[in-house]
Amino acid sequence: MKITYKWLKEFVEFKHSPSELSKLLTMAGLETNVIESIDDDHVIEIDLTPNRSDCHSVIGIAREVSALTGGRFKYPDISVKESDGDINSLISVAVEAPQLCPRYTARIIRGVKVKPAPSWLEKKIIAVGLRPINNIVDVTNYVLYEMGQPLHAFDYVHIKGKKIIVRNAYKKESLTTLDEKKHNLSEDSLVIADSERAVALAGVMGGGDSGVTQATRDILLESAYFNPISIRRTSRRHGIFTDSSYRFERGVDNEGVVAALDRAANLIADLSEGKVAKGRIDCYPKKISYPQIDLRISRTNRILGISLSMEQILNILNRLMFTTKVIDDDKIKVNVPSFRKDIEREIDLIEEVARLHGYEKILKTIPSSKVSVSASTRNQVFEKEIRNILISLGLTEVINYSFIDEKYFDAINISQDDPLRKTIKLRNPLSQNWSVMRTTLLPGIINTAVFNINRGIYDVGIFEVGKIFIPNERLPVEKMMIGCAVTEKVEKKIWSKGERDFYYLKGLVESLLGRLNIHDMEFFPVNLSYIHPQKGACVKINKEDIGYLGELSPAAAEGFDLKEKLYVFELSFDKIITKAVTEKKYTHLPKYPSIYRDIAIVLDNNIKSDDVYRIIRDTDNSILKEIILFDYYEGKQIPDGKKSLAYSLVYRTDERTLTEEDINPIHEKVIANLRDKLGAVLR
Amino acid sequence: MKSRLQEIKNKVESEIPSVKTEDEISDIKIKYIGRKGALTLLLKDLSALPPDERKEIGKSANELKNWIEDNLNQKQKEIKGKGVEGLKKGFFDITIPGKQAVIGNIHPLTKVLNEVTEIFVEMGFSVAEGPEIELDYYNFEALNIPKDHPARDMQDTFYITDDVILRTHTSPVQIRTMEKTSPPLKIIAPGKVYRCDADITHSPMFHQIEGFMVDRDITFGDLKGILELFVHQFFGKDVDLRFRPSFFPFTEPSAEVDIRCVICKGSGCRVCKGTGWLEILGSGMIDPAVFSYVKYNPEEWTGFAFGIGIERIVMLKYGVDDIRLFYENDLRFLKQF
Repeated sequence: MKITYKWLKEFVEFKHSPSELSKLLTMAGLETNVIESIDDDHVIEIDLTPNRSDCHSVIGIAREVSALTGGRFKYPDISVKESDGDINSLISVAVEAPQLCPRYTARIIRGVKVKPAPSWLEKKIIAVGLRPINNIVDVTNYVLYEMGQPLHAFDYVHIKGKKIIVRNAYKKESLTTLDEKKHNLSEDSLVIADSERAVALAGVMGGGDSGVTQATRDILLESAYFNPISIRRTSRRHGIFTDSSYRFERGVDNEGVVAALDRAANLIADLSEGKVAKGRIDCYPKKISYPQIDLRISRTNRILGISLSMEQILNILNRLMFTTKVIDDDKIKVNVPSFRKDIEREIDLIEEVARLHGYEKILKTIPSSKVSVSASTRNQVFEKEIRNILISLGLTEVINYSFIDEKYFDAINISQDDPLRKTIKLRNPLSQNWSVMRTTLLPGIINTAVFNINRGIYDVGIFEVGKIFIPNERLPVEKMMIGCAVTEKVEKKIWSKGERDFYYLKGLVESLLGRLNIHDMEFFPVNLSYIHPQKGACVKINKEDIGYLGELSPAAAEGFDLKEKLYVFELSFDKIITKAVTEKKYTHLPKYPSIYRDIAIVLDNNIKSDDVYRIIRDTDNSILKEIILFDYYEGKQIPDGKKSLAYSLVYRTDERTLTEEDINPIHEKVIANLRDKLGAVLR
Repeated sequence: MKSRLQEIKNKVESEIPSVKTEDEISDIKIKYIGRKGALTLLLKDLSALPPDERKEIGKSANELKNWIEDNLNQKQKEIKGKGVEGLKKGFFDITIPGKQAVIGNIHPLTKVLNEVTEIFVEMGFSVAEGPEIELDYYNFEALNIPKDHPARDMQDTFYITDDVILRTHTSPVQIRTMEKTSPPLKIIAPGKVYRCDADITHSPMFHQIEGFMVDRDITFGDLKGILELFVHQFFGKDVDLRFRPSFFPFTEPSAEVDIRCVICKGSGCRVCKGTGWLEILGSGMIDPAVFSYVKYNPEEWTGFAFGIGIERIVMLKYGVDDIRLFYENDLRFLKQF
């Protein structure tokens, strides 16, 4: 909200410069900035928190400045010069929905001349960001900004039946507002109507054909107090947000309704040569009562960590125009003024005391806590650990949005009934790109890889640790996943030779799980539309499926306009950490040296390395301790349809240093087994 | 005797430079320090000398023997190409770049999230978590933000159904934790939050850290003390801070914490909009209404809570000027941290 420095000075005495004032208010919770100087005045913008409805006006800020500085507060002149004609003979008002309109007041000003407002008034409303219209409308806006009370001026001629009815809208009733938009009203909306039709959306905007025009002579001026929730709903339902609805939904001062009415009526008469009819309408059947709150000095000091005296607290409350009565040594009964809608409880008063005393005067302390220190959860420990492992493997962490575009499910080429398509949809997404909650990290990871490749960074090695969302009952199941993508290409740099492939990716998975002491993982063929039918696998630990890895299928790559080969994995974080072993036991180091024997064999290339491994392993369980595959070759130097595998076999025992005689028979047996069972020949 | 030693030394000195083969080295060895070498023979004559002289000459002779051996060893290394001279042959280019081990990077948001969490964990806070898709009840209602309250405007909410939303802040973790734990507590809750807003300073998904502490006599002074410790740990000991009254439905009194602008040091600049101060977090004493929702007796327990926007402090700490960079994941950006 904007006000001006000089306007404020009309209602409170203070010596602060605009920038000092700005600091004073900011440190009292009204964030203030001096934004510009116009002629000899300064425009001040105040960013109000939603609780301070009382400050949406010049007098509201003046009250605050008075409380902070002790400067004298002056209320605006609200005297009215009344003329002929009794309002009750000119209009009748019936409030049919008193819950939604607790108070409705009105005055009539007759014989006005509609013309531009004088420049002193126009200048003020321009400064606060309004557009001058005419002397009538400008006065209602002027008083709105000055006193915080929204007002509406009707052209009296257009009030049919000389009757105002405040009621809920009828079914199928419609209203064209001042901005020439037609609104179909709902029965929940409160309207101001005459005997025939709605003439205003109560508290939000007036109707187009009952407003003030150049031809207007007589005016019905409305000042009311509407139910904040009803105004808020109506304003949202119709998408109309006005200065008026903004203030009503935050709560105006129900006791300031008449003062604003009188001030505006008198000003209109003054500026338009009109005459205010005698009397005013004031439908206020059930007076709104204000809270009386008991405030304890001890409680105040206990919460704030200070030691203010009864006198100091009374002084603060009185400066804020709260009336007080001392009950006993510790207790004060506080009457809250009608404009402070935010003060309902003792804690609200304690905040006022803290605010006026000054937060900066409250001493910093360090609490002595009896809370025993508890360790991080298993999840937190592993989240950190897994990130560290992946980084040490050369991957960089990315963070993608949790919402994705459904079209990515087509891009990764999954069937229409694939469970990944069962997503949680946002009702109000910012864009189609971010419309459903992800059920897989894959699209985000691929997208990030593509984004980088398109910017000329073709060496991509990335991972993400984040949640996916699976629809369930009321709340979805949130599962933590680990996703990764690496490109085939590596950076063209001296020393960095070779490309990444399936086995590189598999190595990442093995290293990650290995570091978490999971060694019993197994890899099985996988059938996923987004993974290459051969160069892909699902990972299982103790028969439990924990995810997949592999080369992105050409169809999925095409779905993302990806020209490079990409290798991806996605593993369940939740499952991995239940398998991870944190407690380690020491195994003693070998007492005697190991003997290494290498063999290279040539065999049919459709024989699995796993089978070779098993045959070697099962040959001996006494001194054959390790089997290390150190070379794999297919190509010109061996026959077509064959491959060469080279192993280092490690022999060792804890009893003594092994000799050739110990090893030879076993080594021979290994070679014989490979030959007999797999047709492997030594190379 | 002394002169004979000197004579041997001179001879060896003159012979070594011309040596070309290992054989020649052994020849010299035999000739001087072998069983019948000149020096060996000389040592045999020592016994004829008076004790004083014997001692002195003996020492010199041993030194000479060592000197000869050292020189011959050195010569041998050179002949085998292992001596300094041999190693100096040819050219080795040390300016070719080293073989880089590739190390990845932690995302700057994770890095700072961990850093902030750690600061509080060191102060005795425990880490808690909550769901990112949340019930309206936990995100708003139990935090004293009823439906139709204007405070809901402060947070543009993504809706899934009428009462299921993407959490707009980490504060629901307060409620979830207090519902199942009795005080006293000291909790920190980092995580992702969502609001429908997107420009260079707003991201529809961002990160927050919630912190709260409940005990019998927690005061506003304690809130100030803990948050000052945090600011000094994170931004540096010399960074000024101030507590400014504000409004959050779930705290009262509420305070916004500003730090002295890290860019202009308080003189006023574009980043701090000329005020010299930067808003970094919201905080306050937990509202008694919140305690009632979780069935804590507000007369018995008091507490404070705060929420820190991670993106904002990362942007301030590293001078990042566009929040979208964090979610674009350009590797050239990510590798700077």
